[in-house]
Amino acid sequence: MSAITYNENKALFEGNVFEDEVLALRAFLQSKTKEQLSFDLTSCQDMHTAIVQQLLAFKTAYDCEFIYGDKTKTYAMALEGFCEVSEAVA
Amino acid sequence: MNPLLESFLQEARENLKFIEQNLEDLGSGDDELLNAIFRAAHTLKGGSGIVGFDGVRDITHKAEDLLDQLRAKKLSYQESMLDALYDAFDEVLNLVESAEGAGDVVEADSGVSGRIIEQLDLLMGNGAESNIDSFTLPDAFVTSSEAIYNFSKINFDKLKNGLESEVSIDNSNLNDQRAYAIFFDLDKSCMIFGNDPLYALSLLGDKVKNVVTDLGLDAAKGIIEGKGDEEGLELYLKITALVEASYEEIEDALFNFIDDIAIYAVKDCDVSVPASVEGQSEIDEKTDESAKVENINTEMLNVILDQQCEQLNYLGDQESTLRVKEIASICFEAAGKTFSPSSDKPEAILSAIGELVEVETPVVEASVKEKKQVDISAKKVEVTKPIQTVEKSVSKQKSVVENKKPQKEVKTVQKSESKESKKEVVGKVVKVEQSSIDQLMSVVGELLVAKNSLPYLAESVEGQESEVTKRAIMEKYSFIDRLTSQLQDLTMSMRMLPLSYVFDRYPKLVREISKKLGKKVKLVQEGGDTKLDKNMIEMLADPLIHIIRNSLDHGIESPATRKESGKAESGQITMKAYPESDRVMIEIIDDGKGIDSQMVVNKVLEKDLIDPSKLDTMSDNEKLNLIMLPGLSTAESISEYSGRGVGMDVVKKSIESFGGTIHLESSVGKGTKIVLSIPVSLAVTTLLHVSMNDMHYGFPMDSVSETVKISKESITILNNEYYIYLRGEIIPLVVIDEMMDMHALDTDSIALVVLDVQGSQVAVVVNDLLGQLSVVQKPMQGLLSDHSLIGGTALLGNGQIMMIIDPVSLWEVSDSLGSNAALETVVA
Repeated sequence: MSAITYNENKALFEGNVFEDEVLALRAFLQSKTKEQLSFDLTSCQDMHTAIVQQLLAFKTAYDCEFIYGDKTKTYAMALEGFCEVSEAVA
Repeated sequence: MNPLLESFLQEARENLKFIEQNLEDLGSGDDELLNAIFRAAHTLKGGSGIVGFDGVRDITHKAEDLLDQLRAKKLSYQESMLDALYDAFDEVLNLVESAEGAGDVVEADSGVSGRIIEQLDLLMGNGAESNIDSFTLPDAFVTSSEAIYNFSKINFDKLKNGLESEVSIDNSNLNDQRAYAIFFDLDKSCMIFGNDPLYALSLLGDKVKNVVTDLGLDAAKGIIEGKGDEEGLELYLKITALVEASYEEIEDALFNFIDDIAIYAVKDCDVSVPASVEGQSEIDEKTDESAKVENINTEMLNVILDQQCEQLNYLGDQESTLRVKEIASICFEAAGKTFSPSSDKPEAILSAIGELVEVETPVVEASVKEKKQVDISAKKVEVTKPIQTVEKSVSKQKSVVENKKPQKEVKTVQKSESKESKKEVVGKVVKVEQSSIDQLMSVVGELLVAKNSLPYLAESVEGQESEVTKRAIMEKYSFIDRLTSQLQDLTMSMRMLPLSYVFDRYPKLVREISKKLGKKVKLVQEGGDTKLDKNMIEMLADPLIHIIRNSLDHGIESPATRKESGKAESGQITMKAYPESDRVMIEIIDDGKGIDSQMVVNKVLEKDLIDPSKLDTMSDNEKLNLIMLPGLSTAESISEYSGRGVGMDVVKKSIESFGGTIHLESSVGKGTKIVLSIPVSLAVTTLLHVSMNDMHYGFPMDSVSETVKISKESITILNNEYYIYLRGEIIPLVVIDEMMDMHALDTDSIALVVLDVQGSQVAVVVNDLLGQLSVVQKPMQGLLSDHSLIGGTALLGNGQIMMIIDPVSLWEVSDSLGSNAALETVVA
């Protein structure tokens, strides 16, 4: 069963999200580049780096919001601690 | 078992196997090999740390140190290092095996591990007091904690450039809990190979205080488009983490990435701040209750307050101002001062903060800027960052408390001599390749089709001639027969495992015993990839141990004796396995003193174990094999003659119990070769189906030499024993009169099954020969479990039971079968 549920412009992340969901997520994000997306992470326990990377890539170029549950989770810190324009500065 | 531990144990086995196979060449000067052994030890240490297997971690840590010093050329290789490392990894293997048995981590025997660690320390030139003084780690101290707490907004490279050169880590700071910045410099393929850096980082739990990620616009675009990365697993994300942990904990958690990360210690951020920061988390919840902070580190206050200033300097909005005011109040209170800004305006708050710490006079920019326009070089920070910093301070305090949790209860390893043979060799789980499952499914599908065709066949029988019906049934039979054969082959192949499962146990055994005996022995193994049924592998383990022990104890001579006889001081035992037809041959060859067959004969006669007249017809090799007679194997006998005998009858019995045979060849002064012939599997046995007195019996086909029908006249009497002449060979005749229908033999020709038992032939009289049959053999149970003649049973297609005669037992009890009296009747 998928740990990500897509509903229009929302994606609900539940439990542990493994890397095998990265392609489905990418397809969803590709189809929503003109929308403002909401990622609900309140029930997300853990998230693979590949999933985090997809979300941050989207965040870099498009509008989106993250609804966090436990911010002490490492993946949540990685999402929150995103420093998106550093390369441009460097 | 905990999946993480299970995974570690499996990986540990592989690493230990690699070390085992290569450690001997440690002193060869091959740097690549030394590095590879070091990496294996390092992985062991890291993995054991993650699963909390402290016994393994402590030993491998020390062994890793020694290997590291060797590869850094800080130490020169010595022979004694090899022994110490073997001892270390043997003990690790012992712990791993114990954990496998217990299903949980076990506690090391402190005496054993202490001695091993002490020995390794001595070899590194370290006394008990200081053991890692010369250990250097590639980290550096940042001169200011401020830089680290703000590093999210600093160009990473600039931060690194400002660091000092390498710093020695010693006992005083290796295990210190302190702030470290970890910079990941990972290959983009790392996730494709199953690595997950954030997961590895999360193993540090709440010791992770901040994670900063970084992604360029071009990389982000590429990730979303997915061009050239079909799996979506190429890594472009830059990750930097701030953790508060010991260097060792970081290394343990991130051991998979250890070559691709840089760890920098933060000089001024000692995390052992004895502060209680209760209430700070409530700030995040925007409550009005003020928090109490005691004894907070002044440096940290500086960092926090400095950040508040930067935030106000950048944002200056009302909400931020109020938050900063709250945080500043807490910091002031912690410092024993009162925070009383003249107003709630940013300028007033900053000015008041400036009374406690030195901050630049702020220039408030009133307008809130777009987040995407943040200028990093100007060190402007996001509104959430200062709050985060305080939250981290709170969670840090929590972690200090949690670190005081009682340690996990662990079981202690029980060391015993017999442990070697009691351990499970393979384990209860067998890995099966996906392709085998697919093939199995395919055959099962065909079998279902065959089954479904039977009702149609039944319907079509009506009105058909019996011949046509018979042909139709036989066609279906052939089809189902082919499928069941395929099914059988597939199922058998799933149970097949490489012999290395059992071979891998012996290098350690050889080292241990040869060390005790003061002998030098090299073990050479060939054909470890030869496959055998899982059950057979289990059953082989103990007999092989017996054989190797005998070789070591009584075959291989002491170095001095070998030298005197012109041999190399170091003896060699070779274990060789190879398939031959439907059997696997295992040879155990030593270059020891060999066995004198005449001395074996003398001992056999002395113990009255054989009729002396039988010796006349025996070849030298047959005499030699008398060493496996029951009753010969006493401790006394081994030391007196050529040195074999301990448990060889037990070994023989054990090998034969699962359908194997054992054969021995030896040459005095040159060595001994023991050859085991083992059936590939026991699950399905091919039998010669015979009948006696309307009962069904089977002889294992691998013992059947041939079947013949002879006339009564062909039976000859020699020395009151009955024989037949078959192609010039004299073969003794056996009749199991209690099973036979003697009246049915009253014909011109007698049906015989000629068996080949341990190199000798014997002809068994039966009533009828019924053909060859593959059956699933079941062992005898209950009262009949120790039956001297019947080794098992099988169910026939018609529901009748077939008794399977054990040819070896038959040979051994043939004298008591009353053959002669019965044969007199037959011949008469």
